[in-house]
Amino acid sequence: MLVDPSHRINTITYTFLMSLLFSGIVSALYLNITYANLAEKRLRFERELEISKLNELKTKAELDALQAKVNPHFLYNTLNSIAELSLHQGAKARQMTIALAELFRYSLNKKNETMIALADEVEMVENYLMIEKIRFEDKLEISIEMDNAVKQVKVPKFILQPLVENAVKHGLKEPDNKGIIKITITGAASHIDLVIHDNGGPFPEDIQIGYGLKSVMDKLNLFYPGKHTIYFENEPVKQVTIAITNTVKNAEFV
Amino acid sequence: MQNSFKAVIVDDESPARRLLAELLGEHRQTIHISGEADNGSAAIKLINELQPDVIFLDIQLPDMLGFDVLKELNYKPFVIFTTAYDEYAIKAFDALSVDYLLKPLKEDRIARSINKLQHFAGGKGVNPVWNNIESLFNGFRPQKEIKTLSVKKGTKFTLVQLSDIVYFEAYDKYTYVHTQNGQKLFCDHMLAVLEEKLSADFMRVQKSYIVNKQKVVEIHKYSNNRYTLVLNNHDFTRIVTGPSYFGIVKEAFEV
Repeated sequence: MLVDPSHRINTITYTFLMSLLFSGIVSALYLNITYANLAEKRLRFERELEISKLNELKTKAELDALQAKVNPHFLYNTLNSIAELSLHQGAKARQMTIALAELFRYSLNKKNETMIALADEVEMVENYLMIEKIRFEDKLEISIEMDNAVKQVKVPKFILQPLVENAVKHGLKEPDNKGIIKITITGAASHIDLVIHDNGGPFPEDIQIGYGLKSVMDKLNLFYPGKHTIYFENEPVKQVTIAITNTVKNAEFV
Repeated sequence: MQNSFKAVIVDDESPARRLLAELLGEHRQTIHISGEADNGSAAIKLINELQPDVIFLDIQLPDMLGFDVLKELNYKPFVIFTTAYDEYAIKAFDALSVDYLLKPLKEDRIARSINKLQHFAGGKGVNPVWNNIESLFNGFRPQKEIKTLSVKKGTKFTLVQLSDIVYFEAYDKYTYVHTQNGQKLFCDHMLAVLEEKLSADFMRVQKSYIVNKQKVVEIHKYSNNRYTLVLNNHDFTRIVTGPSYFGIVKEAFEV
């Protein structure tokens, strides 16, 4: 016989033992992989949790940081104007002092409000523009239009002012040109379009964003994630639009 | 000692120009105002034409910075800066000018400036030299590196903050921008063009992909010259790096 029966049995046993060992290795490997997957998933979950916690903290810090402070450069320039007006034009000096005080009060935010009626934000913008009009005298022309329907809609504080400030800067950039600023606010309780026009040069495609525009973008991302756009147009007129498509603010913030 | 100076005032705000002129009226024996300008380009023209001995120059003008005016002058007058910037910000410019005046303007400070001017003009001090103007006033310019990307939509365009971008994906001659909150935006730039413009946070890892390094959460070996990058967006997108990018990926993530 070529094959010894006892040897044959041995072979079978050997094969059996080998396959047992092999399946053991396979299952151990499999378990290991599953475990590794679980571990990876858990790790990822923990990381996500950590990120969301961090984000929450970050959000608070960001909100604090976004609370606009009156820019010292603007403050000193305004005080310099008041100092001059006080010599010969008392009434104007007084008007400007009051507007500056209102602006300062709004930005100090003693009541700790993050949201405010649109009409109040616009009133603050009017105070700001009044100061700029006195500083630059006959070089600024301003108009503001607002739908009645949106006046009481709550928006984050300083959502409009930074873009108006940019518009004033651009409107005044062309020497010998009068700066023309037009603000139009339309919409309803559920959605708002804030449109700001100036007659300065067109928006460049690679627009450089300053602190003001960035603060507006960050605020919109925090309060209305996925429910807003800021868009820039040069044709038919130069204007920037903040479109809030759903004014129900992010539930995370009360 | 030179006791009479022809002066030009440069400031974009008329109340500011009036105040300075009024306060300089106390020194009419010494300072004669021969002209005023309310923007940079008018100032350059006026100063080159009138050749005043001294200019009172606001740093922030609507069309340029005060320093840009200095660069365009065909001679070197004495300069007294006027500014609403913090003293801290302006200190470095002492070397460039006779003096600087902080707003709101004060009489005693103006008197001191005029004394300093007479001192320099009498040759008793080193004439302020206009070296290194460029490097000194670069701090006043906005940073050039783009922090946002503009995305066209018909005649309108919107801006995406670079910190919200997870990765770029080439799409023919255009690019898709994938953002943190899962948006996929169309951008009419080629990937290669974007690669040039983006900050150091971004890195090409494959022919068709640029990733935001800050958004990479895991790196796995894929083959002997490729890695798999796991990105921190909703889907934990995985991108396999290209063989020719092996070296730079390895170096960037220290793997």
